[in-house]
Amino acid sequence: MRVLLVDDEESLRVTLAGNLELEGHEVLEASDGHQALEVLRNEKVDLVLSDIRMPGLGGVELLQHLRRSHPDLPVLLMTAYTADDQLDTAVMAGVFAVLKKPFDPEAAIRLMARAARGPVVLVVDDDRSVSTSLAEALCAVGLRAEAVFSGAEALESVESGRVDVCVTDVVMPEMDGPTLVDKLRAKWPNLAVIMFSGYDPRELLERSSGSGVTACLKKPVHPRELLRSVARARGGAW
Amino acid sequence: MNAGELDTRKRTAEDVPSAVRHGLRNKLAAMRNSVFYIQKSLSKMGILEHDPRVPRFLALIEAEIEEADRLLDSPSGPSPAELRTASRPEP
Repeated sequence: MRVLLVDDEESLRVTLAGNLELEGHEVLEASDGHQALEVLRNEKVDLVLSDIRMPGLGGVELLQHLRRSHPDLPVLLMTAYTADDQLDTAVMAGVFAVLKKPFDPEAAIRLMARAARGPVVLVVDDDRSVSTSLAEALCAVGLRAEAVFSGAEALESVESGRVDVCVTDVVMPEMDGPTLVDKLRAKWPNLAVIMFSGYDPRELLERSSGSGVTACLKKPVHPRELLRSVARARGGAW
Repeated sequence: MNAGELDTRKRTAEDVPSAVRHGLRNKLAAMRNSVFYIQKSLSKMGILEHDPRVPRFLALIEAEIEEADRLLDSPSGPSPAELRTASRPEP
């Protein structure tokens, strides 16, 4: 894959570029958002990995620019701050994932390779208006998302290998959410799963602990909460 | 000193450690990337098997980086006792 790496810290840039090149990937470098946009005027890349805090144009502003100029380009951000107040803006701009420095380079390269493949978030709910509107909310910020309306359809979609996050309702006819999660986790242990329901999410999270569910959301699900949960499920940074 | 000045001082006092932590995490990230690169390169060259202390010391650097990051996460920063424990090498 071809990666544009954006960070004003040269030591971080060259060392991460070294690791990516060692794995056979190609790396272009920029020291801030303006330089990154300049590079992207002439070069094609599979993804952008950018620091959030940089002098000049920062990572979140760069992400917002790219949503307009390169809507399908996956953007990952990295931060050295534990609680960055720009994370919510990044989530609403459709960040793929956020990495917290100092991150494990091997896991980061795996995540970048996944992002470059353009994986899909699958939303499962028998209430078509719910699943469709949630998938549309994800697509609106540049993420790839699809809606399906039963557990059986979800299993069929995941079989395609394009899905990396499954967001499912708990109460559904024929196959309920927990049964679907068990089937998914048995076959695809690395698939991230988010559940939503009218129940108390804390109770749901307790009941589903150990099943690999990364978040439980309460209905009606706010798109901001869903976007944050998807980015967390992918990157686990904050 | 009025309430506004007090508030400004308080925010400045909070911002300084936050900026230091940010700077240190960037350094730790570059160190972690470097260790990973060296580990991979030495493994490809077959040097890791040649001297058992090389992988052990690389693992030690990796563990110290993780510990330093953990100490930076504690709300008031590391205590002197924590720093002593963290820097003590394994027997």
